[in-house]
Amino acid sequence: MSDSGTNPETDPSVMDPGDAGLLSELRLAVEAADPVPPRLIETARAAFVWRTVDEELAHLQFDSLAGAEVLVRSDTPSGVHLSFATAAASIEVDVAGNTILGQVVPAGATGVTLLLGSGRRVDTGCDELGQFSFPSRPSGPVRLVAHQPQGDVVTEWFTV
Amino acid sequence: MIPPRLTDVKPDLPRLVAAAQQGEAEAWNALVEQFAGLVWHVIRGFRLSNAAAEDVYQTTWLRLAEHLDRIRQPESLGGWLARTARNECLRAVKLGGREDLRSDLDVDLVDRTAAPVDRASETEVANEILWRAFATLSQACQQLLRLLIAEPPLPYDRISDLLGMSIGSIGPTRARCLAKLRTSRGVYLLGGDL
Repeated sequence: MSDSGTNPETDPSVMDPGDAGLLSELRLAVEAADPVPPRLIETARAAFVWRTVDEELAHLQFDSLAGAEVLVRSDTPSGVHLSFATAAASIEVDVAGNTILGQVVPAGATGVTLLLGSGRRVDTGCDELGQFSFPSRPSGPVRLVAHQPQGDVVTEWFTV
Repeated sequence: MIPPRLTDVKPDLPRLVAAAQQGEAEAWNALVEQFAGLVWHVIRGFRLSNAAAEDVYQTTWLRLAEHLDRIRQPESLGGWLARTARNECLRAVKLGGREDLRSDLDVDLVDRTAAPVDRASETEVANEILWRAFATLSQACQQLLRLLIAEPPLPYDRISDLLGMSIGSIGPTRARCLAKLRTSRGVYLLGGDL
């Protein structure tokens, strides 16, 4: 790194050999003390079965928990609001306490399925406004599938 | 225990991503193999409960599975996974705001004190001391050092993005964190209380 434009003070690729050695030792120490749990590797492998979707993917448009700003404890929101959309439809989700409430727009969906990463699924119906509810809040990542006459719409995975 | 590596040859990322997009589970498993540790390092830089950390880990890979067909720059996959995991961690911190935020590092320390260290090899003892010293560092130092030791290595501009730190300050901060690590290790070595 003797290029005239390189400043060892600010170029992170320039490193003291002693520091480089310590980083290598640290890599081994952390891998030994805190390896990826094998169970999680299995979880990551299993995620592949969710790759094939015939449904249209509704992307996250709004997340009340998104953003890097730090909340102090007293500001912790009592509920979570999420909004997903495709070009033609949107799915609003509100989580308050242990209840998941939501609405599929435009109205007309016959029902909504809650899919869990474990493969479990819970079905519920929609009213004439497209509103739906699930009485329990699942742990771990989930996604919703809205069954519309035009075809199914599936949200991205989210955790509440 | 370090998970076994499928191959020591660095896999060809664009080919693996293309094969996974075609539905080849073997290619997907190879991607998991390659980036499992990187995602874990990002997550463990945050003080989340075990359950929250596991949820983030699973969510990160589910995200990749659902976005696999949209990956246009396979060579940036590591950075994409790191950013996804980080965003989910920030979200999990807020989601768990009302729960007690546990320090898993501290929990590990307590557990390990009871281990019969006298039968451990020199390398194991050295690793253990360095791990304990690492656990005494600030969260900011732990996050930076974990991103720096992750394999495959993250580009510095990506680390800069992830930590909200200019590229120019990575080198000096790394030097400070490593100096603290060295000092802390020295204290443990002198103390001899392992």
